[in-house]
Amino acid sequence: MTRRAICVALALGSAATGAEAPVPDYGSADRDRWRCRLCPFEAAAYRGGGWRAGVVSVDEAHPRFGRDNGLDRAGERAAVDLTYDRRGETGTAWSLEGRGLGLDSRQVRLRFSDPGRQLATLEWREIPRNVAADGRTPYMGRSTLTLPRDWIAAASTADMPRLASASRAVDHATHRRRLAASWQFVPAPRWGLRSEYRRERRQGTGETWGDFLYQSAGLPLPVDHDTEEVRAGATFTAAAVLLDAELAASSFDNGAPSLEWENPYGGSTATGRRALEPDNRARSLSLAGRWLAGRTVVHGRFQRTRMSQNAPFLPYATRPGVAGPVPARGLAGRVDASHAMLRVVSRLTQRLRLDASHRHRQRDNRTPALVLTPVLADAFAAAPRRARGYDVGSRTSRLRLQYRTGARTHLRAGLARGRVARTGQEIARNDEDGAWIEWSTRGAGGLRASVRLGRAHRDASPFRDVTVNNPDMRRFHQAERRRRSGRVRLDRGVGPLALGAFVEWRRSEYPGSALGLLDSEEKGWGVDVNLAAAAGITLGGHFVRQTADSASAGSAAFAAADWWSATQDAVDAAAVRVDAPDLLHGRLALSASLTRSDGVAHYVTRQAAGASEFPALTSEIEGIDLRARYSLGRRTTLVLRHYAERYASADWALAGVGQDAIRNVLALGRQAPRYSNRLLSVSVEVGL
Amino acid sequence: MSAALARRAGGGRRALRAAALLCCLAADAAEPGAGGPCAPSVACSMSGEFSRRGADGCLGCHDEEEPFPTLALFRTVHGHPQVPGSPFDRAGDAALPAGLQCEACHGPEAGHGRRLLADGRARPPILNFGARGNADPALENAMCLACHQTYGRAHWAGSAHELAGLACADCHRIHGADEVRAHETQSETCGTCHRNVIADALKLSSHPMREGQLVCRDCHDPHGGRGEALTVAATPGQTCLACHADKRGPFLWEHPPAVEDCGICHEPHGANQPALLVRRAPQLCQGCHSSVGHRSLPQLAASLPPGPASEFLLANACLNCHSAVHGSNHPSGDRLRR
Repeated sequence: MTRRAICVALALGSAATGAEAPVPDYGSADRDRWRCRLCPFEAAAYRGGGWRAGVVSVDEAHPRFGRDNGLDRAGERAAVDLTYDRRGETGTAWSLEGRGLGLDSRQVRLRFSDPGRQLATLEWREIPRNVAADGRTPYMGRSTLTLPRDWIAAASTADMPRLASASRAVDHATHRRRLAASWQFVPAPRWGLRSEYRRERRQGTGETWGDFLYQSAGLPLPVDHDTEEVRAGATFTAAAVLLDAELAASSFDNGAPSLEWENPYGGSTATGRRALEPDNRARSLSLAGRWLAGRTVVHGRFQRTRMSQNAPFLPYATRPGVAGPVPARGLAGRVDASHAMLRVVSRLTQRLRLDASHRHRQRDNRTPALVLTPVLADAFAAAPRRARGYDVGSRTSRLRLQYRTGARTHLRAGLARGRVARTGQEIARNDEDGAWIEWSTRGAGGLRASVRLGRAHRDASPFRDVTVNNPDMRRFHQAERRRRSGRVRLDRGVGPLALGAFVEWRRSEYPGSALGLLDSEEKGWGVDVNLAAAAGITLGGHFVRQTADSASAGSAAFAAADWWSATQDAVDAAAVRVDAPDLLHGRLALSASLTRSDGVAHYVTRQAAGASEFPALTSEIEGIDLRARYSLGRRTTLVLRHYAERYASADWALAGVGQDAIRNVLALGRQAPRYSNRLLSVSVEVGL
Repeated sequence: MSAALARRAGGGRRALRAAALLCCLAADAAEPGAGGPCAPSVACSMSGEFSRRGADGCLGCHDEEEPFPTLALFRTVHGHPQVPGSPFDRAGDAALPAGLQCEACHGPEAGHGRRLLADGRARPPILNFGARGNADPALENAMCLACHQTYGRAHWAGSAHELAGLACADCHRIHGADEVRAHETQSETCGTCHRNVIADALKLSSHPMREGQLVCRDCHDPHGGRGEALTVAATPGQTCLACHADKRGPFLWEHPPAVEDCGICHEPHGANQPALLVRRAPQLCQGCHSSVGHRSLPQLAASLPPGPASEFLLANACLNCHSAVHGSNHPSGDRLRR
């Protein structure tokens, strides 16, 4: 890198922060006597790594316990981790890393680097997602769900005599298998090329629902998704200019494009059919640039994306003769989206810095409008209806000033103005203005503090009566809104002790809404402590409390508000951790952590007749993690882990809702998860 | 830092250290005004002189007995003599500051090593990073960006983290394993500031962050993402669609909020309600829908079992029928029921 380029880097830093960054005169270094005799260089060629093999034992099977780690079944299983690093004399390096081999959440990564020239990676990952295993259904099959031959239909779930005996357990679980490869290459000093490929298959079973007018059934949902993504980009970097271009393409294919199910209630319609997510494609072009002009840095980005979809339409209904043919074979759907951003960062004076940005987003749905004759519940033709997509666009401008009041203290203030414009909706346009001010310091001795206050005001265009909604209703993301927010953060290091605390709040009011969300408030505060005690022992802990309250109004009479509801969410999270990495003269390392989170949600509905309070929704999780590493020899280490987790939740939407609890909804009968489980792993780690 | 590495560096280490100290004494005696007329400050040291002995002068004192060990650097790319452009690059082909050893990042020694702690005089400061940082983050960052001025960091200036006054070393460790780059430990680093997000991961529904299956970097680019909130894609929705491409459409029948912003209904880091929802159905749905009929009815606790269980409230509430909530491609899916 030339001295000019160094100056550019330093100028970028100074332009960005308003600080004057001096430029060292690197060329003045006289290196004749720089022998580096004390430098403990690795051998020019290096090989290292190790492997760890052992057994993981889980006491009880529970999907929530193994929700994302694949440890949802009881019993023992082998687990292997391995790493291998090899570096050649010229600095080129290979590394292979395998994690969780033997588990459902395994991953392998191969990496090659030739520093300053190229970097290539190849990765395989498997990501399980276990949601529930206690759902029950009488349906059999994947994309075509059938009931047992001896099924006796009834108008009410309570009257289905074969329901209990014919039902089977259904696992709500999916598994992602992802292959990813990337390559970055520097063909010439100013150029950089990069490419990336990713393919992911997601398979398993989810859950969905299918209805026949006022009767519905929970259904096992076949999941067979295949997503591919490829990217290629090039970057040109000169002293003051950086230019970048990237092309990307993505495709999604659904191996289960529809779901058909038999009607468990009887009646005139024997089967229903749903369209599942259609195959789709997307491709995009992105351009980005950065230009340095004196004390000013200009950033720009532009992206154009086209999304398309033309999966074959299903017929209007399963029942023949109810409706004619669909007027098109497929949607020929097309959406053009664009995104542009321009940002200017300039150091106006030694202390004052300006940051101005403008962001523009637009989504244009260019799908041809179709006039269709939907069939209700695969049985009754409804009035023709025009299917049309929605356009939405937004633009946001921000202006921010930063004044350096001291060596490491700043006063910042900003203004923001934004507009969202939509088609086909009641509120065609929102305009929002906001302002904020912030003071921050980063003093000596590890002190950091900041205080930020802000407010914003969102206006809404006049209501347009384009839907069947009550005209007094304002959808909460479109409604007029007044918002105030604040945040205070303090961090302080005192010798080996580090303390941190934050408080934040945000209150939103919707003065133009007679119905819908009336106000909401989110608050949070937290403290954290870390202590580096003697002998390398560290202790740490944190506590965070978050609350979210909201109030809404509704009108059962389709007139003025005649009922009100309030929700209150509160979640406490705490963790304590102790690490002792250097016991018994470095042979033993211990760590222990306790994690706990308590969530509660209250719902109340008020009417003229009085208030109706729902039982509390609760979720509690508590985990105790104990880990030990004991060195058996120079290269061999015994690794032990004991993890106990307790989880309990209560959910009135599931509690007592068996398959036949709702007369016109054949439920899956899932219950809120609750377990107390334990994991024990023993393994041996060997260094190469 | 491994003991083996320290041993490898060992050899005649004590003798060399003694020699280094003698050199310092000699240099200090010979140049009483080392540091020049400039007041002792980090900014001043940037315009000072480079050392005579390079890293040997530093490592004579800064070894594994220091509270902040330095020698692990030599197991990283920064301390590899064969890596072109590294601070310890011996080939000398790469442009400066490559090959300037410790002073490539910490700036000119500027007399810092020429004083003894015992002599009672202030030692001219040298640029420190991270928790022991002693300069404006801009200066720290400029030292890193002198070499790491690539596309990924091109938009650092003006990004949210830069605006917040973060220094590279607040997140990255140079003298050893860089924990923020490892899947298993990345969230701990981010969580030192974003503690509420770490708490979100423990909520009733969350992305698999706690298990390390999804890390912050999967959705956010801390060096200046394309979108607001430093998202890797230009919009929050596009970020979500990278993993949830099934929701991309376009659908025959669209649900407008799903088109506008996933964040209208979902809280991406974690929620106290199922499916990352900001509120649960039917309350969430009734925040927008109030036409004649069941959509406008208040939901009461009397509709819970063992009472007459309500199809509008229990199991999946509104989604018991309107299950294609992200959009439907069925010709009869105008009410998102097919």
